[in-house]
Amino acid sequence: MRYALKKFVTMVITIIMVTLFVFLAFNLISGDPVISILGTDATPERVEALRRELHLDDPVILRYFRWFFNFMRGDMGVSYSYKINVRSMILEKVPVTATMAIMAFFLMIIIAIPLGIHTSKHQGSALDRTVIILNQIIMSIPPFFSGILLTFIFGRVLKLFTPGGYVSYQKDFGSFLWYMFFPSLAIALPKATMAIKLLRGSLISEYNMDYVRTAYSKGNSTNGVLYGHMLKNAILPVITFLGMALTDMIAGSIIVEQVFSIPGLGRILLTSISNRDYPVVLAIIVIISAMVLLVNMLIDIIYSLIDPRISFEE
Amino acid sequence: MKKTTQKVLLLFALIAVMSVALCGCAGDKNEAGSSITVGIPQDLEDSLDPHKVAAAGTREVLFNIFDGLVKVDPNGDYYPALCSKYEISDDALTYTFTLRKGVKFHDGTLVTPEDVKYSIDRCSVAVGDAPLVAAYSNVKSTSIDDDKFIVTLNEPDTEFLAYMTTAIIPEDNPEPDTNPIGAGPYKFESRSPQENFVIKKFDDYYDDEHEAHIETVIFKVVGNMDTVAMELQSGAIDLLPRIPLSQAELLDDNFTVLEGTMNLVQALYLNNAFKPFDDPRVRQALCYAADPAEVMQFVSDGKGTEIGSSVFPAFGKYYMSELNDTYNTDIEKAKALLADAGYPDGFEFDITVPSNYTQHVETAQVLADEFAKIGVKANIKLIEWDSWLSDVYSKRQFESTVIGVDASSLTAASLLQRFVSTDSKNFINYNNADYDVAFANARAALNDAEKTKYYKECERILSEDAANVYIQDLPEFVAINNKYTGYEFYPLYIQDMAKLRLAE
Amino acid sequence: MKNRIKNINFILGASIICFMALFILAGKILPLRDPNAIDATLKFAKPSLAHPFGCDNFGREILSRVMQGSLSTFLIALGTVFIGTIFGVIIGAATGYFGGVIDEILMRVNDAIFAFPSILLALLFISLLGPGTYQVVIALGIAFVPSFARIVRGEFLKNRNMDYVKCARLMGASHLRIMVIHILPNTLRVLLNAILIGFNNAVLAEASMSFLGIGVQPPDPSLGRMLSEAQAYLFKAPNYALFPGLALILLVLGFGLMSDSFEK
Repeated sequence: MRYALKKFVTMVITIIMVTLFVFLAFNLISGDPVISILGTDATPERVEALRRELHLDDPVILRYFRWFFNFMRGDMGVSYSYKINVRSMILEKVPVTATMAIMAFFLMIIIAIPLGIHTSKHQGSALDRTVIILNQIIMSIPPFFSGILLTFIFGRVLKLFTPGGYVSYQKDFGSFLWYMFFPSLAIALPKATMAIKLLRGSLISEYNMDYVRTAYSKGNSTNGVLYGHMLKNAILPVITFLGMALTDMIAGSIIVEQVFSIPGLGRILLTSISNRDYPVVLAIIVIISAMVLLVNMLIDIIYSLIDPRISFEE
Repeated sequence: MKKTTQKVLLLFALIAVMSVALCGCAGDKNEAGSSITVGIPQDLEDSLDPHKVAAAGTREVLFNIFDGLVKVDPNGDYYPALCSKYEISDDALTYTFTLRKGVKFHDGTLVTPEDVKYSIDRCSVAVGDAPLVAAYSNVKSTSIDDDKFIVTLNEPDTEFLAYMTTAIIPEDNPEPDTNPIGAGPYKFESRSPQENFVIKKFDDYYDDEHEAHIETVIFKVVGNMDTVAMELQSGAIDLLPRIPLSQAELLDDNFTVLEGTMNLVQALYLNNAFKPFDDPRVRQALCYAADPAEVMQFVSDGKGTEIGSSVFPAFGKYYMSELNDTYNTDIEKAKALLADAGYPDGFEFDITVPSNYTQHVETAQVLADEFAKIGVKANIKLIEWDSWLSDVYSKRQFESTVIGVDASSLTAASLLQRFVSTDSKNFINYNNADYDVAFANARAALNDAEKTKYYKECERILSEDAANVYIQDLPEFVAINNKYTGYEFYPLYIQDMAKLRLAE
Repeated sequence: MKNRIKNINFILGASIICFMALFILAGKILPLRDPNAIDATLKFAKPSLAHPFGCDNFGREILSRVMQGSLSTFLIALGTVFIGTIFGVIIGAATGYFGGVIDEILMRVNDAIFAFPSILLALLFISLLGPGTYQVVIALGIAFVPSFARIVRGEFLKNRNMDYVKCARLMGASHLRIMVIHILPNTLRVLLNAILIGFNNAVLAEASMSFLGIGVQPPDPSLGRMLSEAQAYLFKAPNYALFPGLALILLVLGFGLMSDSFEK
């Protein structure tokens, strides 16, 4: 319990660090929200006036603290470009990206775990070799390109879905899920292949451990308990990877949302970055980093549950 | 030959009669409940307040929601909209509009003379030192006289009518930024960021001649324009303005691809304050080295209209096609000019291009190749659009850039004013005393012929002084599903949805 | 039996990499057309003897562009993985081995970078340093550090309480010595896997950045840039996407097969 609490506190500190980092970063990069808002009609006078109106002429630290305390009060501000309340704007989009990430995560596990175990048991079999080669090929296709290929194959040739025909989850949840299946697959496939590779590798090295060899030499090759132990040890690096994969998926959704015309957090983040729409960027980053850190925390906890040797409580 | 024509005509007549007979007079009834999905490459990441809108992409959509005292038609002429007629005094100082009676806003309230005055005043009131609409700095006063609305100017301006397209909005709308209320043929329905923007036909529209036909129009944000043909073919999008040529080629018979022009001045804009571009000979050398025909060949399969100065063909009487020949590609002459200017071995410079505009990026690549032939090395630097706005356009920290400059209204001034040495939009730092004089003369002229003469002089100066390396007015392709008809091109950034109908 | 398969994998992988190396080298030696030279008459030329891979929308030679592009993609991936591994191992080893305050601080910074979308990080660096190939390497390299650090840290955590480490400590070995001589070799297998995956990710990240328009600057080619330029012409000129795609697959496949053979 104390462990979890400590983890939680450090997580909050990390998120604060991230927001500070973003805030400073936006001060360094080129581009100016005021000029983005006013466009080519901007005159120096209007730029000045708007800058004052948005308090952008204040020092960075002051602006940061203002933003921070408003955020703490639950006020995420108003989007510079859309003039909409950031909270309502983002809350509407969270389910879209979350659905995609979760769906992709489960697809990845469903594909990776059985294949990883199977191929490690039957090294050199036809299936093993096919999986290895297929893995390599899938791994080497950039996500935007596999998205285009999937759209073409499932959308145009097999006509399983309408390319670009995204349906909002508020309108028709079933159609929404069906449409999201394909982008999720585009995200899951490359990650799954990596997970297979990792699981296979780490299981194989476990086979070579002394305790396993001894057991094998005593004819214990089908011992369930033994296998359980092996899997438990072998799965550690895989869990690390799964956690990272989930993070990657959230970041990867930016590209896939672009390819599949999905209005999710990634698209909003990307356009808000280029519009220098800080209130939106900061809010999304807080959400994304909270999700990422939460996943990491869970991994650490799972780690210490599986392998009691790992613990910081000395 | 003649007989076949007759036969074809007869056939057409027959089909026409039959379709009328079959559909009866249900044309309009069919359109009840009809909808069309229009693809847009970028969301309306903007305020929906028509007076604050910055992006051309938002302006062209909001055209459907707001009407002004006058409105522009596809020919570029202005017709009375919220006024029934207008009068311009002979000295071009007083504009008198007779307001229409009984016109309603989308919220059901009547358009009052006070709303009109409020809307115009809102744009002429200074923020800082400059008004919201730059041209309104010329407004001296506005007044209401019964059903008449009168605008008085400080200086005579015969072109001022073009600025009276300003949207008329109700004075009491508390949220003009997010809930636009106007008096246009369509009313705002809903929006979802990065997803869509929906408008619905306004049933109480005052003007039967220009009313909308399709009931619902959904503007849908397209994620990847490079593969958009798949979305059109699958039926997710019915109409797509500015479709890339590579995608238009892939469409089947269910679509018609219309060709128009983008109405902008695409050029390699040179920072005239940057050495060596402060030397007209160097600029001229680049003009001689550039070959607009080759650019068009690569960028749009040879389509596009060559231009030789800062006015594009849609401006009719102001456009001077003869300026296209000021510089015909001549490598030797270019080299001679460079040597003359002290750069016999050429020089190196950067072309900064916003990465989201494929045509401009491709144009820059062709130009870089052409400049290499006269020993000039051009490095292409891609930057984000917003960095372009702030670094290149606003701070003028650039060497050269490929971009298309559009016009905010159909006045020659909207294209030519920016080259006046002191103008705040003069992002290329152009500085030519002759030009400033010619432009001032054009503004002051009351007589149309004289005005045109001075504006043409401005264009000639830009061309001969090689202010920029002028290239073309880009071609625009519009893909439309054959279920719909009636799409019209405008000489400005406008997508007029009210003209669309269901095909018979 | 197993060893033979390992060997076959290694030989296969090595031959593919040799092939790619020769291919890239050939681009430097053979008198091919300049990869950036444009020619209107060759726009979308079909593959032929004179133009083995055909020509692209600018009439540029796809063969020489794939050669040049493979080189730049390879160098970018190599640089990225190099930065990621060096810093990842240092941070991961220190934090995993010592734990305590150093671990807390470094892992928080690590988490902060980790939680930061890599695209934003890349965008930031590109905006700071200006667009270009080196900037891409630096941006991607930094974005890659945290994942390496995590993996290495996990391994060090697992090993630091093992008997052999305790023995070494009892025998008076210095921390540095234990970390470098004793633990590091035991993490190599996992690290090699991570490097391979990192290499793979770097190649793909380069492509994603090109897709978003912030990678290698035109007209210079990279495999990612070529693929993203080719997407619009997938139907008109499939060869435009096919050849850079093939080069990408070979590059990743070669290293993948080789790394498979390193697994015990």
